[in-house]
Amino acid sequence: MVNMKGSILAVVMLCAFLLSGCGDSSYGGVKTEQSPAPVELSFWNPFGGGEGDFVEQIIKDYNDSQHKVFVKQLRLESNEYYARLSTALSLGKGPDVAVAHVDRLSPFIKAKQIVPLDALANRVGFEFNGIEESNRQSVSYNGQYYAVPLDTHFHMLYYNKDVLQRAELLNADGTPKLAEATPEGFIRFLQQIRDRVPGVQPMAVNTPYFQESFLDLYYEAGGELLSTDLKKAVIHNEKAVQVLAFYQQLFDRKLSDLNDKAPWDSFYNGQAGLWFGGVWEAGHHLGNSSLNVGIMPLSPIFGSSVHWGSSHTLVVPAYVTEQKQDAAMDFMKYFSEVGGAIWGQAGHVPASRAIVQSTAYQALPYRKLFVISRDHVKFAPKTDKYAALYTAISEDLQNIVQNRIEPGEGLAALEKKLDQILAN
Amino acid sequence: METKLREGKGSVALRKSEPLRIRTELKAIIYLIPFLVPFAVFYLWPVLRGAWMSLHVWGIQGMEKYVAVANYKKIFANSDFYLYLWHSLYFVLLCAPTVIILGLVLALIINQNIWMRTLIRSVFFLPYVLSVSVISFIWLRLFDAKNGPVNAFLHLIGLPGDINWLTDHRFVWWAITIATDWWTVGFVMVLFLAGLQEIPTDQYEAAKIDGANAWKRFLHITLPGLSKVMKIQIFYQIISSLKLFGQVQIMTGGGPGDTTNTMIRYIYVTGFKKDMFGLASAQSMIFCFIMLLIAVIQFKMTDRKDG
Repeated sequence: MVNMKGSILAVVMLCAFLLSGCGDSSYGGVKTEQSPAPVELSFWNPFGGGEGDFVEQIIKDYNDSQHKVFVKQLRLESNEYYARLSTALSLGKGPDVAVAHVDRLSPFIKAKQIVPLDALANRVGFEFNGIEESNRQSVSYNGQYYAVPLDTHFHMLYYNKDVLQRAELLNADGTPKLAEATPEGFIRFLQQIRDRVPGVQPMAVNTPYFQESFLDLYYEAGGELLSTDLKKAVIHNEKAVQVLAFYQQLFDRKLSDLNDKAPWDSFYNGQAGLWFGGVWEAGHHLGNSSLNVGIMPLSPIFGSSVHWGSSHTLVVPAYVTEQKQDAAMDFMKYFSEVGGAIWGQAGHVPASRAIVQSTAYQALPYRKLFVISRDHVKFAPKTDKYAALYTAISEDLQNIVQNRIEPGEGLAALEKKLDQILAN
Repeated sequence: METKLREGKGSVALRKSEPLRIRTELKAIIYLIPFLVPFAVFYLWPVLRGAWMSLHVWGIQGMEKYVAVANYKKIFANSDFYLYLWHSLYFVLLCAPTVIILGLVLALIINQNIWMRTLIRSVFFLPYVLSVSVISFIWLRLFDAKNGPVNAFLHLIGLPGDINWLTDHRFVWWAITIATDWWTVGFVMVLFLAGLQEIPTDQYEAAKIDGANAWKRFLHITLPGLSKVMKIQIFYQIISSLKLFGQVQIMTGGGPGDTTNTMIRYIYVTGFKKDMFGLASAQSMIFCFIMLLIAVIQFKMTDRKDG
């Protein structure tokens, strides 16, 4: 009897369940469709510190703005970034979309490790014409675009107004009294800071990344790294010797501290008068309420306004599936066209022309000067050996400066090394 | 006749043992497989592959061309190779003796019945559990020329001026050595402690009765008693000092200039910064051979003494 009751109950419950199921589908008339799971993209980048926060914001905004793609970022230490990215691209397992500096693209393209983006851009409606001409050219190989340029980044001259005021080197409009744009004039300017403001480094030089400071002034002097056919190094010349001699004078005359391992912090803490700092540091320094800072383009002390610069771009590895390639392109489009506004706040000059011309961007402090300076940037030569060349240049320049090697002798040895790399 | 008989018996015994021996060896191989497989996959294969790569120009896009021993010739013709090899050996000369002496002194102190013995032992051993990146960042801060506690302490005891620990070529090797000693001395100490506890106490008592002072007891009982541990320590410290990489990579970046650039960092930069994997493989093969040579010499020397 009990068993009978149990089986009746089970049948009633089953019927009730089936009926309720039928009722659901017939009642509303429309079956609830489950939205497909979003495509998950792994995004690798080397952005830390201040920059990282802006990227995080862009990713968050993108993920919130739609539900088809979900971007997950992996932030890697900048010094090891390319070692890991190269390994990932070679192994065919890693990011679905990644940041790459424009000077690193060439070997990836030669090895067919990243895909051309023209067809993908057409599919998602991304216009390369909206990108600044110099940026567009920098990612174009054999008539195809291999990356979406995000920005141009370079150095500006940061100055501590309080220090310059004490040295009586500040104009009424708050700009430095850099009367004579020559190496000698610049040294006199620094000497006045040293004499009148004791305890402060007149100029913090980027000794940990000395190659960037060197290239700024070497390009100003009209120097080139490689011959026009990219087959020989041409760094051993009078211009390079003069630039190195100039920096060595700064260290010898105590106008800059060669032992400063964190010159950017020295400037931030008010312990330096001048600093050739990256545009990406603008928010960091300007946000320091105890630092009365001003920014201007690098002074053309070696003759011209041309200076070192690079550009962050986004690339899609060749091993990424077609579905993910489309999703990656959609994210890159968003980063360039929408996220670029936030990226501009970080300090980099966005590659999107519309964003740079927008009133919001132009209203940001010093951005008009950034744009002027951007137009004088000299990108690296387009060679697939640039990583090796750049590493050799940075190591040998460190050696010349730190071990007080005579510039001519050091540059001759460097040129020989570069030629060996090019011949390899 | 007897001899013949014995020979006959022996040969019968040998014949009988043949299949048994094969079976035993097969058994041994089966037991060794859990070690041999990962050893072959993660050590032998990469070494063989490295040897193969070292005969090619091997860039980011893979193998480019076969160049036979050109990479090796290039390395031996480059003065940087000899300089960085010397740097690696120089660090062995600095670090191995200091860490062994410090470890021995600490072990001798802790082996006494002193107050808070376990706590002191733990305090000295603790850094060893940290990773190389953690200890490097700790000492990077401690040795900061402007705001670092080391210079602040030196000021406190009356030393004028700042020492640029990490950017002055006169001090930088000592900074790396101090950081490494601090990191590894706990392990050396523990091994010596184990060795000390194996020395019978009656030997010390007998020596005391014979009127031997503490120094003589140390020289004639402790040191000989620790000889086996000492050999292992020397061997281990030489090999690990030769492999110096993390500390210089984080604390100095090989600088100032290339003052602290070692062989391992040289290989790393050639491979992962310059994308010249063929050349880096050749450098690795040479350095591997040098390390094996040192190991063999050490084994031969210690074997002879033991014999």
